This record gives sequence, structure tokens and C-alpha cells, in this order.
Amino acid sequence: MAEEVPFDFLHMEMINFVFNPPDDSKKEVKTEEGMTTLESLGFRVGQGLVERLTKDCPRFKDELDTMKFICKDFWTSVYKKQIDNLRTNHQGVYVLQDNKFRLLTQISIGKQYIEIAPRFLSFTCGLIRGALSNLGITSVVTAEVITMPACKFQIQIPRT
Amino acid sequence: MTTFDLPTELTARPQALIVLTGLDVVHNAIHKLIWDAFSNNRRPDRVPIHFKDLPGDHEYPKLKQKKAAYDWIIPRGILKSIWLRKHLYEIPAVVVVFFELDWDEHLWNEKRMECATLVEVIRTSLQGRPSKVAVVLIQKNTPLPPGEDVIAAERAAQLCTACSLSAKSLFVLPHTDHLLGYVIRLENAFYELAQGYYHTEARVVKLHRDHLNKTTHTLLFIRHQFKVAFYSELKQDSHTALKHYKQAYVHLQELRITDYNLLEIKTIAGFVNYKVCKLCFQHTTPLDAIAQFRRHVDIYKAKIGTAELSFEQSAWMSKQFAVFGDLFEEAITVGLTAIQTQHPGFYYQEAAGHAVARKKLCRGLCMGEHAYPSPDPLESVDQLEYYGQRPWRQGQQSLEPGNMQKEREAILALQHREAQVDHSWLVIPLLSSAVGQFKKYKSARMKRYLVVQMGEEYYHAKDYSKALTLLGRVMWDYRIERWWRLLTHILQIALRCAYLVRSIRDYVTISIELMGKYAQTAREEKTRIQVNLLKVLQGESPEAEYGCEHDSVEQSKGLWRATPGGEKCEFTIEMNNITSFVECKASFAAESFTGDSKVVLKVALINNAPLPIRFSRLAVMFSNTVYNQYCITSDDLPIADTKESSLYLHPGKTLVKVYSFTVDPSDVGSDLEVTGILLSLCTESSCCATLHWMGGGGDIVLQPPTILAPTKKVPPGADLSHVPWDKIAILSCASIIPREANLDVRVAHSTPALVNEFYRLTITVVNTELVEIIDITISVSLVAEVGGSTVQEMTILHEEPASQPVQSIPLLRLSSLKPQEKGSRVVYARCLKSGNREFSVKVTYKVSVDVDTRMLPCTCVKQVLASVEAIEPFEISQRLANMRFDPMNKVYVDEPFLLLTEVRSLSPWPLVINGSSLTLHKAMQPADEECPSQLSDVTLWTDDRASECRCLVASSNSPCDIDMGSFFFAIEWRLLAE
Amino acid sequence: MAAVCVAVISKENYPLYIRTLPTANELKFHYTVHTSLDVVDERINSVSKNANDLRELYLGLLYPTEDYKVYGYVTNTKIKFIIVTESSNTTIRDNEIRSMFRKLHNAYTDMVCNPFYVAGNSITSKSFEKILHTIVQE
Repeated sequence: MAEEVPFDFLHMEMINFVFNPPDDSKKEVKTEEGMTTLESLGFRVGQGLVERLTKDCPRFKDELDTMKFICKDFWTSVYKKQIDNLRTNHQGVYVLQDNKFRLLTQISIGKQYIEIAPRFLSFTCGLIRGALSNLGITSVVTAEVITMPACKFQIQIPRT
Repeated sequence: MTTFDLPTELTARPQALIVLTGLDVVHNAIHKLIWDAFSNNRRPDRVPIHFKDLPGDHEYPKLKQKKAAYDWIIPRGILKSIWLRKHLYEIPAVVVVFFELDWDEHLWNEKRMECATLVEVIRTSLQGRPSKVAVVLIQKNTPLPPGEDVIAAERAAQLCTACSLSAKSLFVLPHTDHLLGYVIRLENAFYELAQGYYHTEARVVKLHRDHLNKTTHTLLFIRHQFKVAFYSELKQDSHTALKHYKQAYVHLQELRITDYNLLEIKTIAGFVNYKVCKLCFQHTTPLDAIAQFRRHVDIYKAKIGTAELSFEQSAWMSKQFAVFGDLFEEAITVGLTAIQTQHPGFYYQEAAGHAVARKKLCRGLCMGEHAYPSPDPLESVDQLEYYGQRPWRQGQQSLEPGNMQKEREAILALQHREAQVDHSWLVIPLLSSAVGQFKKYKSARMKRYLVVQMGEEYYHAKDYSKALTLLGRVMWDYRIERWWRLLTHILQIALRCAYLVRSIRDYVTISIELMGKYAQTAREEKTRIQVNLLKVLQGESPEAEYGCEHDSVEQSKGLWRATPGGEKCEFTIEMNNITSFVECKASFAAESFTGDSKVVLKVALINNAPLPIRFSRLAVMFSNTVYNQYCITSDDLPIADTKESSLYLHPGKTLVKVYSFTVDPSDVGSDLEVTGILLSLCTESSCCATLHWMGGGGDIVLQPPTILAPTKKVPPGADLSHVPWDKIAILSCASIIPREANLDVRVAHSTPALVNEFYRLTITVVNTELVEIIDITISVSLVAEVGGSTVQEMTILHEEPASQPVQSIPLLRLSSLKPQEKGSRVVYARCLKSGNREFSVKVTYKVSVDVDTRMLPCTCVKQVLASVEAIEPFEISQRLANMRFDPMNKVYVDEPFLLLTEVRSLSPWPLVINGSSLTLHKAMQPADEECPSQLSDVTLWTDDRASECRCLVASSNSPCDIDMGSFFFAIEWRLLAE
Repeated sequence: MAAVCVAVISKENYPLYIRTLPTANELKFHYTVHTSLDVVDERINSVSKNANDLRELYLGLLYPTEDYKVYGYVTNTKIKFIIVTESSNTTIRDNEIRSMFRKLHNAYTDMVCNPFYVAGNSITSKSFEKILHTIVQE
């Protein structure tokens, strides 16, 4: 267990750092701005990570095949569990539901932190988007907290 | 010179040769008809026969004396060059004698003798050749069914005996209606005879084998197999033919190869390989054909032979590939399917490759200054006795070198002849065939590569403009795919071509690209190109490009010198099509500008060339051309001057030009767009190249779309000359928005409005400008989205209470307001229905603003919203009661009852009721005569109630249903304040 | 192992890295690699039609020419690797080609994790170069 914790701590500190920069900047970091920063951090990580994780996979057959990879291998390697539910409308929208999202498990369950909980999803949104982008799929990824610590990631792939 | 072209007799389709004699085609119409029926219009469904019309006494090639024994024979070659031709066109399988004779002929005996003589003549002229002889009697009468004509049977037997002919070789051809039908039957019979003939011939050849021995007769093994195969082909037995050709090919491998017999072996190997591959394709076993061909190439590719004649090997290889390509393509046209990685294109490409190799070898070997030897050792090259032999030592099969002097001379002669060959014209058609194939099999890149090679070949063939055209056609794809190494290679050839044909426009365009950051050349090379470019622009001759043909350079120098001095060369280069050394980006300082501010546009230029460069003019073009005049920079210093000036670009440095101008008031509300940028490289006298970027400039080459962390945006006001080039964003479109209004607009009203009330909205405008404003217009309109359409329809705007309603947007005008002056207007709204609505009050005015020491009229707009809720003023309820005030549901005829009407005020402010009226159903009447309003002048405050009680009676006429709608109650009211 | 040319091609089909034997005609190999992308594209795109296909990263022999054999490999991230060997070198077996590609793929993924590498740029990493050296020269 211990070897898995550093990422959690790093992630927490990352959010802390992004929203409360140590240099006494006068202005407060806007939520949106901070989330964008986290998202782009995730994007770069996802890009690199997927390069490594797909090394021993057979070539993906199609988009759905790629999504399954994200839900299983990719998720497991980052969050030590699989996505609990994958749904799609077959029109380019995929909803990935994690009933016990690792990065939310350290926050107390209840309404207390529901306001800032989305901050803990931005990095992962970027992670998914970066991974997909490197696999040749351009997407928009959004997330929402259902009830702590369950959350949903929605992937939208624009159809041309 | 040896061409290695396959002889036509080899490639022709083998058909049985049948000679027809005794037909007088010229004088006899019937004979002509018969001949035509045989020879003309031979569609593929007819048997493969080649007919020849010859006189009866035609002399056929002599039959060689039978050899007593093979032991002493030493063959002088593999295959005689006349053999194929002889059996295809000269030695018939069947000779047919046509003879007019009916069974009831009076002079039967004489005619019979005549016919026998004719047959005899034929036999004599065949001189013992085993060709079959047949007789066809041309008859006027239609024959009777077999067996019925006793005379015919008898006379036929006589005739056969007289001509020593088997009954199967005697035919009858009645020239009646069905000539073609008879002819086809006849030719099928002839065909059978011919097959018999070729079968026998093949057998005869096979029998020779017993007499052969392996040591001295290897050549004959090959020859015999070849002959058997060919006879089988003539017999249309292609499977047997294939078997024997394969055998021949195997025997060919058993020969010991020396420099002296190599050519003959390769020639025959080429023939046999051709036949094998062709038959394999024909049998729809293309993989066998390909395998055979691969083996063939593998066996012979290293058999170069005499080093001085190595070009012959390349020529031979090229031919082998080309021929196979043709065979492959032929098979495809009759139904074979090829795939992307296996199609004729590869073979044509390989053939072209060998042709190029041949050219190179020729360059190395054949450029000696020796005179052509005399007597010509190659004199008899077209009349060889055996295929593939050397004309100067035909028939020699010994392994020892012959006359060394003669050999040397012959080699010299061959080299001489090779030097005369224009190799490029061998290469180009092959490449062109390959291009077609690769295009067909979805290999766009390979196709492009072949086009580049074609361009190179045209360059070598000194057709420089054609080369330039071809190369120009593919550059774009390499550019857009970012294969810089390849693009540079193509550009370098193109530059040479442009130099050699003195195409200034191409020369400048290519130079501009080769000086750029994507060109994969050394800095020195870029410097050299830039120096040359400057020379060209100044009307001087550039230095010659490296590696050009000496003659062409001399010619080109002449062209450059001959430039007419007075003629100025002007052209525009589209920068969106190339990657240039100078890059340009235009960026508005903001995404929008107000009508009273100055538009600021920055144009950044960067020079990626190794040396500084001066441009003569920079101009920006806008969607509204009026502004073009404000964004021009000129630099009048000569192009070669090195002084600092306005458009002097240092290498690697960004130069930023900032333009600002005020906009025309009429453009407020529209977008201003940069449509193009022009950058000129001009010299006064000679040349003017204008570089044109579409839109705001930038690089045509897409940066890899793999986006990383969002790049920090350069703040709009930043000094771009210190910003890394890649970070400069292009902003080629800005919107011109109205100047912000300095006006205080308030709408005073007291919501809620009461339904049907003339609801007053007082609009107060205070001029907060520093100057007087004029032409103030106030417009009031309903905001469409709020409340939905019914609320909209139920709202009417009035200028005055009780006046005519105005159209949806009433305009109120104020002529002018001094600073801090207040003006106000009132507008009334009548809401016919309760609900929320929103009014938009828009105040427009004109003001003169001092922009850059110029008074600029500006139109400003201020808009405010006023939200109004309309409510019903009263709540009215009615009920019925009997005279004792007990509630009741029914009234009885002639029995008085009470109608109690209660009015409750919902208005937040007091209302005065002017009066009320009650309109009754026709079955009702008031019980009393007098009926004044009981509510007149009653003042109601919020939630106050007032009641009216009327005594009514229903008339006796008829019973009917009544409901509350039967009593129509109306109130006339006003606000207390008024 | 003796490849005469090894290339890494980006998603968008431009070269990220091409290494040839120092003695070889470099330009010709650039063309060889470039033209082989026709076949790579075709292979990648045709795969989806055939569901039963083994969707290996290794694409096998793309096409033989008289002198060279061109092999292809594509990662899930659509990075293409091309290895060219001499046709005359008949000792190279398919397994060896596969292991060269594995090695190349490993080297590439390691290289991508280099914090100084910007995705899509030409590869200049020294350690990558070193590994490539073993493939081309071994």
C-alpha cells in the first residue's frame, strides 16, 4: 500500500500548489484557471503514460476498444482499480463511472467539500484527454462528482 | 548495339499455318468469297489458324538432310534465329488444294487426273516435308445426305486413290447459301489435321534425344526442348508447352558460362523465361510466374560477363523487368487482380532502375575518344544465324578466347554504339509506366518518388523546363508532410533547372525556400544562394549551380547575359505555398477596438537566412481597402546597401512594424480583417519580387498538433521583437465596437403595473460626457425572450395615455444635451395581461471625440433594461343568495334573488372605483327599477374589499341554465393619486 | 543483426528520426522509408475491416525491392518504426526483426519520458541514439 501513496500526496500538493501559489501573488487563483492548469498537467502525463502502457497491447481495433483499455489497464495502473461502469451512446459520448474514485477517498464524505471536489478531478480529465489524444482520438473530457467518492467522467468525441 | 528486345516471332501468338492453294482470288468471285470467309474477321472463338494463300507450286523451305548419326555433330548455337519464323510463317501444317469439281461432272476422268496432278505438284514442292495435304472440291450442287449419293461415294473413292489421299483428307465445299458455316466446319477439320502434324513434329524431335550425349550436345538438349514446347504451343497444348519450356530452362542452367557464351545464354534464358511466365499467367498461376521470374533474376543478376560491357547486363536486366511488367499488366487486363505490394509497377520501377544503372555504366565505360573500328565488327548484327551470338564470332562454341585483337575492337564498337544511346528516353517511359501503376495501387508516395525520378531524368536529358514542371508538381506534398530532407533534394535540382533555363521567377522562389529554416543544407550553401539571389534581383547573372552539365551552363550564361536591360521583371510569389526564409505575422493589438480609439496593428518579420536582407516595401491589405494606405513602410535604400533602415532585417532577429490608424465611423459594428501582406524585394531597374501572404501570414507548415501545456499568452501590449517567434500569435481579425457611452440612463417606474393601466416609464438621461451630445434617440422595445409571445402581444406602448398605440419601437428624440444636463421622456405601456416583461431602453447619441488631434464623430449607444411585472388590479368574486342571504345554486322563476359581487383590491396603491356596471343575461332583470352603482367613488387600499348587492329576478319565459358568466361585471377605476 | 536503416515516423507521417549506415546513400533511404508509408497506411487502415486479424504492432515485411527488405511496426500511438535490411542478407530471421523492433519500441518509450523531449519534435536523445547504434551496426 505504501508504495501507492506518494502519487496521492503529490496530487494533493499539486492542487494545493496550483490554487495557493507559494509566491504571495496578490490575486486569488480563479477556479477555472487552476483547473485548466491541472488539466494540462494531466494531459502531458497521460500522453507519456499511454506511450508506455500500450507498449505490449495489440493494436486497438476501434474507438470502443480504446475506451475499454482506458477503463481497465490504464485506470488500474493509475488508480489500482477498474472503472465500474462504461456507457456510450455510440455517437461519440462515453461515460466512465468510478464508484470509489481514489483521489476523492481521502476527503470526508458529505457536503462539506462538495464545492472544491471538482478540483480533484481536473488532473484526471487531462490524463484521459492526453492518453486519448496520443492514441489518435481528439476529445473533450468533463467530470462531475455524484456523491463522494463516486464520480463520472464524460468523454465527448466530436464527430466530423 | 544489342537491344534485348524480344523478337516478334517469340511474342506472337503461335497459330497453326495452313496454306490454301488453287484459289483464284483475283479473277474468281466465288474463290474470293471463300478466301475471305477463311481469312477475314477471325474472331477469338474461331480456331487459331494463320491462313496463307499461295500458288500450288510455291517453294517451301528445304528439308535438311537427315543426319546419319549425332555423334559427330557439334552444335554451333542454341537456337537458330530463323527457326521460329519458319514454323510460324513458312512451313505449313496443312496444304489445301481447292478444285472445282461436281460429282456429276461429264469429264470426270479428265478432271480427276487434273486434280491428281495438282496434288502431285504440291507434294513435289513440299519436298518431302511431312505437311498434310487435303483436297477441297468446290461444288455447285448441294450434297445429298451421306450414303444416298452412290455416285458421289464411288467417285470420291476413285479420287482418293488417284491423289493417294486418305478419305479423311477429301472435303466438299458447296458454294451455296451457308458458305461461312461450311468454311468453319472445314477449318475445324484442317485444324485437326494441323494438330496431328505438330504432334508428329514434336514426336520426331523428341526421338532425337536418344542420340544425344550430355557432353557435347547440351545445346541440343535446350534446343530440342524448346522446339517441342513451341510445337506444343502451335498445337495449342499450352500445358505440355510449359513443361518443355521449363525443361529447356533447366538444361540452360547446365551450360558452363563463359564470357563468350554468356550473351547467348542470357538471350535464350530471357526467351524461355518469357514463355514460362506468359504461360503461367495464362494458366492463372501468377505466383508461379512471379516465382519463375524471381529465380530467373536471381540466377543471372550477378552474371555480368566482360566488365567493359557491363552496361549490357544492366540493359538485359532492365529488359527482363520491363517484359515481366508487361506480361503482368497483360494478365491484369484479362482479369488478374494485383495488390498494393505486388503489381507491375514494381517491375517497371526496377526496369527503370537498371536503365539508370546502364546509363551510369555507359558514362564510365563508353566515353573514350577512340575511333569506331573498321571494318565494322558488328556489321552482321541484324543477320545472326543464332539468337544472342556475337556477330564477330558466330557459331563458335569453344571456350577458348578467339582473336584477341578482334575481341578488343568489337568491344570498342559496342561501347561506341552504346554511347549513342539516349538512355534518358529509355528510363522515362519506364518510370512513367510505373507512376501509372503505383497510382492505381494506392501508393501516392511511391508515385511521387517516381515523379521526382522522372524529373531528375528529364534534367539529365537536358529538358530542364519539363524537369522543373514535374518537380514543381510534387514539392507541395513533401512540404506538407514535412519531409525536409527530400524537399531540399528536390528544390536543389529545381534550382539548377531554374538557373539553366533562366526562369527568374522560379529561381527566386526556390532560393527563398532553400534559404529558409527547413532547408536541410549547410549555412555556407544558404549563404551562397542568398548571394546569388541578390545578384539576380539586381539584374546580374548568378553563379552557376554546382553539378550542371558544362554545355548547359555555357548556354545558360548566355541567356543570363542577354537579359534586356530595360525590361523589368515583376512577379508575385504566394507565400502560403512555400516555406520561406522570411516569415511574417500580423497581429492586432487587441481583439476589439472602440470607434474612438486607434486601431493598432503589429507586423512582425523574421529573417531566417544567414545574411541580413533589405526589403523595399511592406504593405498590409485589409478587408476594407481604405485602411491599406495607413500600413505601408517603404525602404528606398538600394538592396545591396548594408545601412540600417526601416526594412533591414538582421538574421534571426524579429523586426516589428507597428501601425495605428483611426477607423471610419461607418465601420463601427463591423469586423476589420487583414486579408493579405505584401513584402517586396525590388530593385529600381531590374527585378521586383513581391511576396504575398494571405491573411495574417504565418507558416504554412502545421506545427505538430500535439498540444502541450497551454503556452503563456503574450500580453497584447508586449514588445514582440523580444518574444520567441513561435510564441507570436496571429490575430488577423478585430472587431470595431462603438465607443463606450458616457451617459447616465435611468428608467423610473413603480412596478407592479396593473393590467390595463397606462403604466408610466420615465426615462431620464444625464449627459456625463465632457462635451455636448446631439441627436439623442431613445428607443423602447420589449425584450423578446421574457414572458413569451403572449405577454409580448398583450403589451402596448403609448406615447401618451389614451393616445393611439405606437409601433413596437417608439422613438423619442432629444435634440442635444450639454454636459451634466438632464433630459427626460415618458412612455406609457399598457399591459393587457398579467406577467413579467422586460423593456429595453436604448439611447443613441452622437458626440465629437478628439482622437489624435482630429475631431471624430462617434455614435455611442447606451442600453438599460427595465423589468415590469403586471398584476390584475382586482379580484372579483360573485355568488348568489336568496333573500335571506343564504347561498344557493338555483334561482326560481319569478322569485327574486340576490347577486353579491365582492371586489378585492390587489393593487399596492389605492384605487378609486369610478363606477361599475352589470350586464345581465336576457332571462334576468333587476327586481327594482333603479340600479345605480353601489361602488361609485369607493376608494380601495390594498386588500380592501367592497361588495355590491343586486336584487334580481328571472323572467318566467323559459327555464334555462345560468352560471356566473351570465352576469357581466365591469369596473371603471383609476389610481387615487390622479 | 544488421539493419541498414532505421526510422521513427510521427503520427502525422513526418520523420522524427532516421538513421542509416554511415556508408549508405542516405537520401535514397529517406525515399525508401517515405514510400513505405504507403503500405503502412494501407495496413493500418485495412485492419479494422477484418475482425479476426491478429492486431499485432509488428506489420511484417512491407515490400521487398531488389536490394532491400522494408519492415514496418506501428505503436498504438501511431508512431511508425521502419527497419530496412539488405535483401542479400538472408541470415536475418523474422524473429530477429521482431526483436529489433521491440528494442526500438522500448527505446522510444523511454525517450518519450525524457522531460526535455517535446512530443512531435525530432529525436536528438543521446541514449536513444546509442541503442539505435546497436541495431544498425550489430
